[in-house]
Amino acid sequence: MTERERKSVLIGAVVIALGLGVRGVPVLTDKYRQLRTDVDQSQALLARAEALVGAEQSLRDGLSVRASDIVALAPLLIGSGSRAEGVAAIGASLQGWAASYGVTVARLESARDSSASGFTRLSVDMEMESDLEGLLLFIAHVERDGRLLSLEELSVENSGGEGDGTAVLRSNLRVSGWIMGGEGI
Amino acid sequence: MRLGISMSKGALTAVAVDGKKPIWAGSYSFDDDADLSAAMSELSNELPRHPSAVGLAVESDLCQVRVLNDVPPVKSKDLGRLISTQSPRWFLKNGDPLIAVASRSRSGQVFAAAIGSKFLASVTGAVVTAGLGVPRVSPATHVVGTAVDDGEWVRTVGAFFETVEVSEASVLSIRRGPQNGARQFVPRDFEGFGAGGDGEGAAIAWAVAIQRSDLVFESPDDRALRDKVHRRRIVAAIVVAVGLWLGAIALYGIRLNNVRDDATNRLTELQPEISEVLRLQSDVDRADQALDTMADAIAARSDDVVLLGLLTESLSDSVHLVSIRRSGANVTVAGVAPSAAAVVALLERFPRFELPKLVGPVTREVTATGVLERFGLTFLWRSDHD
Repeated sequence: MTERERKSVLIGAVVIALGLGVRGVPVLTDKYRQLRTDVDQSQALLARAEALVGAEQSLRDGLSVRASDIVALAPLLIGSGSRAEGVAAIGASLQGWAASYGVTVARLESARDSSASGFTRLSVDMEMESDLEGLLLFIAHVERDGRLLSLEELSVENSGGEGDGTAVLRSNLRVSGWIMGGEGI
Repeated sequence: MRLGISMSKGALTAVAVDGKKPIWAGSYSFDDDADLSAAMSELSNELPRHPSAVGLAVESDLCQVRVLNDVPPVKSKDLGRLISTQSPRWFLKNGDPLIAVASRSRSGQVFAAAIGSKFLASVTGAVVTAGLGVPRVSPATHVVGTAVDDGEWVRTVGAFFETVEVSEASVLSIRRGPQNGARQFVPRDFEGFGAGGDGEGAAIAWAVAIQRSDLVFESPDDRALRDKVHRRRIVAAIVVAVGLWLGAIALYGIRLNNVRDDATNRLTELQPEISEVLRLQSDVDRADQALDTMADAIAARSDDVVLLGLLTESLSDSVHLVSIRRSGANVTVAGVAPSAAAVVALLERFPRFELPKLVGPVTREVTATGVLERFGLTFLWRSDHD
C-alpha cells in the first residue's frame, strides 16, 4: 500500500468514524438515559414493594383492630338484615313510641336510602299529630335510643289552641337508622 | 540497570548503575571502527546483566562543541534544526555531513555540538550490534554542564584540558589550554569507584548513566523514525483510550441492565406478596372509611329535644310560635309576639342559636290584648357535637 493509498484509507476511516460518532453518540446517549431512568424507576418500585411487604404484619394487626372496632358498632345498628327488615324495625319502634305517648301517626313510609362504606342509612318519613309533651317524649326516645336513630328533618306546626297549653301540633319527621351492608366492606 | 559510556578518541569507559550506585565499570581501547565494534562486544559480554538504557557521552575530541552568542532568537525546538542547517557557519567540515544539536541558556548563550553523521552511525551501529540497544548519544561537555554546580570546571580531554563555565546546568563558555585554577571535574553526588577505570571518563560515564541528557545526536532518518514512532504511540494511545472509554460504557450499560433485570425479577418474585399486602391495605382503607362514616353519623345525631327545650326556655310567654322547621342546621321559626326584634334579641343570648335574623315581612296585628307582630326568623342550630 502506497503512502497515498494509506492516507486515503486513513481519511476515509476518520470520516466514517466521525459520521458514526455524530449519528451514534446521541442515539447511544438517549438509550443510556432511558436505561438509567428504567433502572431508577425499577429500583424505586422495588424499594416501595419491599417496604409494603415488610408492612404486611402491621397491616394485618391494624385490620384486626379495625374489625374489632366495627364489631363493637353492632349495637348502634338496626340490624344486619335486609333493607326492608331495617325499615320495618324502625317503623315498629316509631309506632310503639307513638302509642306510648298519645301520638297519632298519620303517615309512615320509607324514604330514600343512602349507602356509604359498608353501611346503609335507612330513612323513614313520618307525619303525626300530638301535644307538645307527647312530641318531646317521642323525640327524646328517638334521640336517646341505643340504636343510632336520628332526626334528619323536623317540621312542627301549631294547628290550633294557641297559648292555652292544649295546642295540637302537626309534625313531619324524617328518622334515620343504620344497617350493615351496601357499598364497601 | 542503566549503562553509561564515555567515549574519547581510542578509549571507552563504561559504568553500570543501579539507581545512582555504580555496580560495574570497565575501560576499553580501540583504533578504528572494527576495533570499536569489538570493544563494544567485549563490554557487552562483561556486563553483569543487560542494561535497560544506554547513554553514550562523546568527548570533545570526537565531536565539535561551541558556545555561540550570535544565534537568532528561535524557539528551542527549532534551535537544533537551525544549527544543523547552518552548521558550516559554526563548525569545521571534514567531508562527513554534520549532525548538530543545541540548547540555549537562560542568559542567552547557545551551547552547540556537532558530530559527523557517518561517525555517529558507526558508533550507534557498534552499540546496537553489541546487543545493548539503541544508545542516546550526547556531547560529553553538555553532560558535564548538567552534572556539576555553578562555576568553572576543568578536565582532561585527550591531549588538552577543557575548562567549562557552568551556570544553572548550562555551559556558558568553553576554553581549551593549559590547566588553570578551575576545579577538577567531579559530578555532583559522585562518590567514586575505588579501583579500576579512567577516573574522569568513568565520572562522565556515571553522569550520563544516571541522567538523560536533553541533547541527543540524531540523524535525520533517526529523527523521522522517532517522530513516526511518537506519532504511532499517540495514535495507539488514542485508540486505547477510545477503546477503554467504549469498554467502560459497555460495562456500565451491562451493569445497568443487570441491575434493572435483578429489580424486575425480584418484583416478579414479590408479586404474590405484594398482591396480598395491597388487598390488606385496601381492606384497612375500607374499614377506616366505615369507621369514619359511623363516627360522622354519631357526631351528627340530632338533639332536637334540646333544641325545642332551649327554644321554649329562651322565649317569654308572650311569644307564640306557629311553626318550627329544621333541616340540617338551618332552623326556621314562625310566630307572633309583641316585638319581633325582641325575639331576635332573646335568641342572641344563647350561643347555640347562631346568627338569628328576621326573614320576610313583619306584619302587625291589632288584637284584644294589644298589637302583635307576626314574624318569621331563621338561625343556625349549633349542635352539641359541633
